[in-house]
Amino acid sequence: MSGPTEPEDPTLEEDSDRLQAATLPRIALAGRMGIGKTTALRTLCGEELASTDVPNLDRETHVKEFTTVGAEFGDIELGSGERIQVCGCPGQERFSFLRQWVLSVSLGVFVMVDVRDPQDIEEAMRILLDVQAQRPTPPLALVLSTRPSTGAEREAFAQALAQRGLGVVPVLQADPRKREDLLNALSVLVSLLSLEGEKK
Amino acid sequence: MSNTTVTISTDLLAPGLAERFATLFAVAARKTLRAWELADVERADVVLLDDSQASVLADTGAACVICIGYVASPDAQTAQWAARLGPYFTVGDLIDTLDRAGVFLMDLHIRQKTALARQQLRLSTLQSPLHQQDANGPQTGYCYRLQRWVSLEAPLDTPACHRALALLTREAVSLRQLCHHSGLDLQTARMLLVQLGRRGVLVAEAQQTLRKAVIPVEQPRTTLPFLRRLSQWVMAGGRA
Repeated sequence: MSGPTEPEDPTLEEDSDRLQAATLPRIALAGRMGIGKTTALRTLCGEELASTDVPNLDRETHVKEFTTVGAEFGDIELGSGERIQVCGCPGQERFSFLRQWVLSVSLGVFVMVDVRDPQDIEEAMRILLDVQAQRPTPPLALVLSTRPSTGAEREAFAQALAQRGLGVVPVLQADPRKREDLLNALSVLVSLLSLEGEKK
Repeated sequence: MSNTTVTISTDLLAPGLAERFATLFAVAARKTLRAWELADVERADVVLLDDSQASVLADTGAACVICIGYVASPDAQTAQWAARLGPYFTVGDLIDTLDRAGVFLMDLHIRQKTALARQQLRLSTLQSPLHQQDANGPQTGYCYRLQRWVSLEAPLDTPACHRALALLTREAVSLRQLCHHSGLDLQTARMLLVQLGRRGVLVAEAQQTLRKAVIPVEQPRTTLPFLRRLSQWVMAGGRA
């Protein structure tokens, strides 16, 4: 004869969720509104994303009809039940607290910029400073030039970041619509993570 | 004198110097004690370096190095034998240097054979595994670091070279680490370092390191399981 089933302990479920949140590998996409974060997410993860788009009420500064509020998530299935989550940070400055949270739970960050746009240097600097402030271990950061650019332009952008005290940061060309470009960027991130893993 | 051919590489010389060397070598090689043959840098017993390479590419992997130029310091090389030739070396200078390298290599081969025979004898009587640890001592190596980010041009504008470039921004890495974590082969990695050295953006740092086990070629690039899976997923073009 079976007895009554015991009620589930909600704290155990919460702990499990927190543990999963803490241990699920994540990569963050950061950059200003309209730079291609959502496009990159779709290119990497497919069309099924968890997103929160709302009408863009700031059409004066940006022509996008919709903009993302909150973080946007996509999953990459690696096989055998393993997955990695790709998180797009909201581009607007008023959601910077969300960006901080996404960075705090990420292994790596792609900082997406237009290296020809002088304003993007400041944006990249803001994001990279947020990255470097993460503790105990800052995520690894790469800068991706999402608009067509020359090698000289990417070098100049990297030099501008170095002059602002951010060290030597890789700046790669990656069209968010091109899967191959994003996979190459991912492979760079994997190599860096592999080197970091050697120290542990 | 032994008839064994000695291999020599000019891969790391600037084009102008390589041409001058080739002209004088065609004469000198007929007059030296040993027979000489040109080879790739990976296979060569003797590697030639010019000023721009000698200061940054300290680890060519060859037993002998000949530095050509004003400021190249043979002492910085990790080769077992190093010599210097002035930039306007003559056929006579070259013959003399090649002969000295040839004699050193002949002596080295004899010493290696003797050492191998002794080691085999020792191994056959060894009992304690601790002795293996004692045999590992410190080894001086060189690590390389990028001073500023640069763009790469063909034939080095490949994903593997970009991975290597990114590694060089992170910390000073050895040639072995560079190949292991980027997937680059040794020859291309050396070529990349040479190019970066020529552009003046590479820093070479001597580092006293403990001897590490040689990383076998078959070993996966990554050590963390999920990283291994992610690497496989990326290399498969984004398919599980």
